[in-house]
Amino acid sequence: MIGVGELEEARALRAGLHETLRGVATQHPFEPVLDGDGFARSVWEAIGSGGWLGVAEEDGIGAAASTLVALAHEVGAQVVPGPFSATMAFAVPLLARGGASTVDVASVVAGTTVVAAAFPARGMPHAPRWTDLEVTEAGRQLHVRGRLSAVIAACDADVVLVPFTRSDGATAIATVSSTASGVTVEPETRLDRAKPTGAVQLDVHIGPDDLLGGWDARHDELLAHWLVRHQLCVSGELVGAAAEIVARTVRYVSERRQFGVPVGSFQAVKHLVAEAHADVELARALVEECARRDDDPDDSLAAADLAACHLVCSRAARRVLDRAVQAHGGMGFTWDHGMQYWYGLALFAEHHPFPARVLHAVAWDALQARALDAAPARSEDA
Amino acid sequence: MDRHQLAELRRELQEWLAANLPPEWCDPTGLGDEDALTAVRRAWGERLGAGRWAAPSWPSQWGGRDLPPEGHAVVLEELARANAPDTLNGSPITIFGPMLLQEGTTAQKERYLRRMIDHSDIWCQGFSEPDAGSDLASLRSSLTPDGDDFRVSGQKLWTTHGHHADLCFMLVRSDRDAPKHAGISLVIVAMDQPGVTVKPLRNIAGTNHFSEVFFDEAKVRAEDIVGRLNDGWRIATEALAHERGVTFARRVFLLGREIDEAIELLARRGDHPTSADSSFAHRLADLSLEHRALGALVSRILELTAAGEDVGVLPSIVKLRWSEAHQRTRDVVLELLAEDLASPHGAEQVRRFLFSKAATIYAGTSEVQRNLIAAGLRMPSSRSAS
Repeated sequence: MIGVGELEEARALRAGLHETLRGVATQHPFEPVLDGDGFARSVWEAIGSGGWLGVAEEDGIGAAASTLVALAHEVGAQVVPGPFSATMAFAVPLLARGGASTVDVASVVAGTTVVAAAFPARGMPHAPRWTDLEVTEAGRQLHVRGRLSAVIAACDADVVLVPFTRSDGATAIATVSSTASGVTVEPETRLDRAKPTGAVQLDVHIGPDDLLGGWDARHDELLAHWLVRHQLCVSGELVGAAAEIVARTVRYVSERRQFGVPVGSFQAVKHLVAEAHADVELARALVEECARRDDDPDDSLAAADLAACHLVCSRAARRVLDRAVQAHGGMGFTWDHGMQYWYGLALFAEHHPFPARVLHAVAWDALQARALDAAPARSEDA
Repeated sequence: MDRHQLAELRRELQEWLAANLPPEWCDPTGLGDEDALTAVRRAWGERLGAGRWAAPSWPSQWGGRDLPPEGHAVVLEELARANAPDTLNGSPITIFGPMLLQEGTTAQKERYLRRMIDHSDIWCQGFSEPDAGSDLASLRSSLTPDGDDFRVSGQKLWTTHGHHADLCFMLVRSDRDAPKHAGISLVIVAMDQPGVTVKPLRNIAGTNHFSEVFFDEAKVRAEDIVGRLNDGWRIATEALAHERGVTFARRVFLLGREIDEAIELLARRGDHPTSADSSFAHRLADLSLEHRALGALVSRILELTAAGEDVGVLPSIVKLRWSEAHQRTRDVVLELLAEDLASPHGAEQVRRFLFSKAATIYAGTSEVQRNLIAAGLRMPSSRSAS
């Protein structure tokens, strides 16, 4: 059983991130950015200067998954613009641990180099199909052609991080300059205002220097490990968003008066908010448990665990938002109140990088297998 | 406890269950009538008590095993996995035992605790009254002095196993002039005495699980006041808050088993899947997600309890959402059985479905739980609403 102390440590670090973000802006910190392009170098570098993008690599050991998830809570609560989880819990660890690279990790951590990471086009957390790119090998050169969709921060990135499958079936990671010949980026319709995505069209030749760790490096395990941690962080963002919405709703219904009393004093409203809080605490418990299990060297998260966790968190966020809008009445329907920022986060995260219906199928298959596997034992009981 | 100690505990209990739990005790369908079921619950209670598994978190001095919350959770999980039946004193051990351990005199502990565990005495709970359900502190059963001892008069309702009980732990009003919550005492009353009348209460599932109990000047010995006079509300609420996490841990484990059984039922429906089957699959998958989250929240409560931290409204969340998930699971099972509902197995499932309706009512209705959660969020008082 984990120590409550570990959790407290993670929460203390989260409070530090909260302070950094407070220093970046006031009120709803990122409203101008979210209503603008969805990314601002000045904000990104301010976050980077706090060291937050490199916590997974701190002291050469790196923060535990529990800590990364606690930070993701804050990112979701504040709707931080930029590829925070994708950088902190995916790009930076891969760059730092993947071997020699032309990309300066320190500048990525500092926020001065922006990396857009391509996540799997299909598959599941434990069996990803990395890309639909066409890769042909000629000597010690790779010709990579194709299109990557829904790449977060593609239009703002200096470097695109591209995991892809080699002819031997193993996975390698390429780093491609976004300004290189043969690379074009088109913005996509923005769903999460904090994570503008783009489609990256590639027709490039890649040499050994562009591959993390060189020509012979294979990174299946490294990718699998950090794909899981990134997914946990996205779940954490959803919980952070949901918890923030409950807190805002409690404040609003405590102040807003109708019939001479706060609307939050009516039982119908109380129960609406109570259900929302229940959703948050259930999701929080599950994502924290999964993060601790991921940290435990004697334990391992199955695909179904991760799928269930993400489904619970994304549904919690959606349900909380729906209830919050209702509890806010007409105000909840206005742009001024800002629910659209968290809705965007929830709607995007629900299906990124893996669609909810795929995760649901993973969860169901595992559930069915386990239940039927245990059935003979139950029959003997009876 | 570390991982290895927990694994060893689990192994020890599994071996004990294999040797001590007869398969026929696990399936109420095969037991026939309610008397047979009661007999099994008593016998199983005796065995669990003798094996020191009935109250594993209690001190070994009183028949427990001194297990911390995480060890207790392992025991509850294994009992659920083995489909072990309930025991007659299960609820008193969970609810009243901690009160007695915390507030009772040495004489009270010596007299009652071991006999509760081994089912030498069967206990019932006298809390709810006709006009004091969710608003429990409005209870009116009165305790009045009678020489060195006391007399109790009033009516209690929803008294589980009241018609089998030897003893009752009850909350009574001992000071009519004190504020509502301040004039309540926790007392022990012998059921086999003049002035105590028990009427079984038939529930919608057709069983006499509950009773209503009438007290007319029944005797309460001075040494059977638990804690200080007029301090009963605090004792009951503090002990309940401490134990609520563990209480519902068991039910959450059982929910997992219920869902698995429903999945098995779905798989056995035949070779011609229909569109309805995918709907069942979707509902069961959703229930499983809720079950996973509930399991994680129960673990969290146990961790906080072990660390001596406040669990806040988390137990209310578990109670609220477990009870609703339990009812939805029973809905699915009933729909899956469809044309088999008239079979003995089907009839048992109908009984369970009907009995599940109690889950959102007892131990604080869903509405009360939502109120508690809202209060934990410091939402404005309803009293400010006209």
